[in-house]
Amino acid sequence: MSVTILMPVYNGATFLARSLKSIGDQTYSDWHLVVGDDASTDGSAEIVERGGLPRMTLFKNPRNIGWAQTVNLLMAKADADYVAVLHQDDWWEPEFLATMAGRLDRAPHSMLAVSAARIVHPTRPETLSGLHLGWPLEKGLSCPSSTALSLLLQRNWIRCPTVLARTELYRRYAFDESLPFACDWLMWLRAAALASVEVSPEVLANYQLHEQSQTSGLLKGNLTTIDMLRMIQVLTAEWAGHEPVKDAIRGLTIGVTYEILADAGLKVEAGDLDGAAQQLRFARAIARRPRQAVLSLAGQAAIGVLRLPVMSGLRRPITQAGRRIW
Amino acid sequence: MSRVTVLVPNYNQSAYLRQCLQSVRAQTLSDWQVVVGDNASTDSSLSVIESLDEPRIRTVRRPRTIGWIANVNLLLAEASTPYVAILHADDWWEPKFLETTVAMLEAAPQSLVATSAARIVRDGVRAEVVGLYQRWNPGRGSTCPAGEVARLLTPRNLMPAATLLARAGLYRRFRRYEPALSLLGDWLMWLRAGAVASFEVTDDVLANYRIHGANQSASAEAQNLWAMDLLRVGRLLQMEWSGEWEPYPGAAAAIGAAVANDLLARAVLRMEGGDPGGARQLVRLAWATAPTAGQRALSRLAELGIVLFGGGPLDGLRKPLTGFARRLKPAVERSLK
Repeated sequence: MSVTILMPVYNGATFLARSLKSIGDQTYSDWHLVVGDDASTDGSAEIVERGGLPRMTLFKNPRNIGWAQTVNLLMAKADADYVAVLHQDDWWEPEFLATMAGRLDRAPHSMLAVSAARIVHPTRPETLSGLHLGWPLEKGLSCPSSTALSLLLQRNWIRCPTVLARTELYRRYAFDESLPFACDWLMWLRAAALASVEVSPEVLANYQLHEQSQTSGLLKGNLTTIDMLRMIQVLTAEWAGHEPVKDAIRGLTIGVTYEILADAGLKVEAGDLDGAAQQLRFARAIARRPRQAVLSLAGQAAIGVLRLPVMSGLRRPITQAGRRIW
Repeated sequence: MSRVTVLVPNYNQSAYLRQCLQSVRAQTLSDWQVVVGDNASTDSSLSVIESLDEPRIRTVRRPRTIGWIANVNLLLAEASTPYVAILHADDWWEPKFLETTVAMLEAAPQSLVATSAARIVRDGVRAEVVGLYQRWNPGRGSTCPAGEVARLLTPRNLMPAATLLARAGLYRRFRRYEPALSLLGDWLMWLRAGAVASFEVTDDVLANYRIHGANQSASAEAQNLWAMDLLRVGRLLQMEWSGEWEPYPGAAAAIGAAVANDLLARAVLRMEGGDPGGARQLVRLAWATAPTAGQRALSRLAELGIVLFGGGPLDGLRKPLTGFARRLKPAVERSLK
């Protein structure tokens, strides 16, 4: 068997069928699917069982333990050369496995092959993401380790469903269970520090965002920030004395600071001024560039102004102007 | 059917596991069963369990090592008795622990938790005693009411897991320990539980809480993982404890202040340990998260102090100053209240 597909499932009844179908539709058939149901209460496990996919094993957690924990448990079942992790809401194009496995077959030194992703949101227009935006195709299919790492320090270009990894990577590193919103980013950073990354500009995976969910709710922002801060701490210890590229931690801190600043902007637009102010303070607390400190300060001042009742009507135009300047 | 399930999460603790399990066997209350959750140990843990040849002890094994919190959360599914205890493989009980705590809960049907005091054993040496009793005046009876428990535990966690016997209802109401907290998961559980339910408190020292492997906790400290867990507990409770869910007046602000205070205290320790860079990081986080203007000002002041006295020509003043800051701290905390 060449590919183990791991799918952690928690209350995924809405989209699960689409995701399972995209596995069944793969042109590449040398896979085994391992589903871990994390104590769903919406009948997700039954949907998986009824899905009727061949070569499928279902495990059920007796209690809910979290997605990273579930994937780490499932990893014990990964006995193939390659592993893909597909979340319940995301889905592949039929060529995904064939293309990615081909890439890794031809690049024995790479740990990861990544495609581009279409980001789907219920109300906003679709966008594309992927490492190809930072490492264009003209430069070759294989992005060298140090370049891939430098790109990933700036931000997380890689969405989970776009990745096919060598199983070896996950034997070496488990997903860090203490940072549920950033453990994928941490994994790609570690992988890039180890080896080159195969980049595909083709859109072979689809990533579903939600209006109100774990990954877009107001709750998320600050917890994601704490995850990213924690990621910096973990890598600071891991890379102490031998940073894989020059100034890696500084670069990562700058990248994280921009992420936090961007999230503060989103929070202002959503009307969550307290959350935004908190984000700006975090950004200022870790800022490594004077420009970032100034941006945080300016943001705090702007929030102070926006708090004035007369300004409430102007909130949207102002944040939109801010976004254009950004 | 037995009345108590003792859940024992274990990862490579064969050196202590026997003492732990023997202390359960030595309980004066015999109406218990043990489920060891072995987190894919690579040492001789399993043969230690087998050698005890005890039918009331069974083992579930994880196919791969996962975080200890996830191991505990999976173990919770194994308990179907009215009472549940979690005893880590390196901790152990005095013989009367179960008898005492079961009796306390039977006498107080409204309480979800009974908690004793614990002796801390640091690297094999018996050290201080901790417990909720330290902040609860026993003159007021054994029942510490809902809300008050959360208030008493807000400044810091006084309850090692080994000091607790919980009603199974606790884990029906709060389904899991927060999966992302690698160090402070217990604290958050007690705070959540103490916000809605009363606890039975005794000052009897019935549990032993072992602190060992200084390297491990030192590395957690060095990586600031404590700080990260603190920030998360603070954020989660500030969201949960707003409005009508406030367990006591000013709870959300109090937990925020406690987090900032703890970060500042750790910064002082860092400074004393000769790590001004780490100390500065911590005071900046304290500043970012502090809910009161007073704490923010204090954090700014501390940062200024670190910049002035950390490393430069004024380095000689560092020790006397941090010593002074430490003595000053209680007074400052009182004035901020």
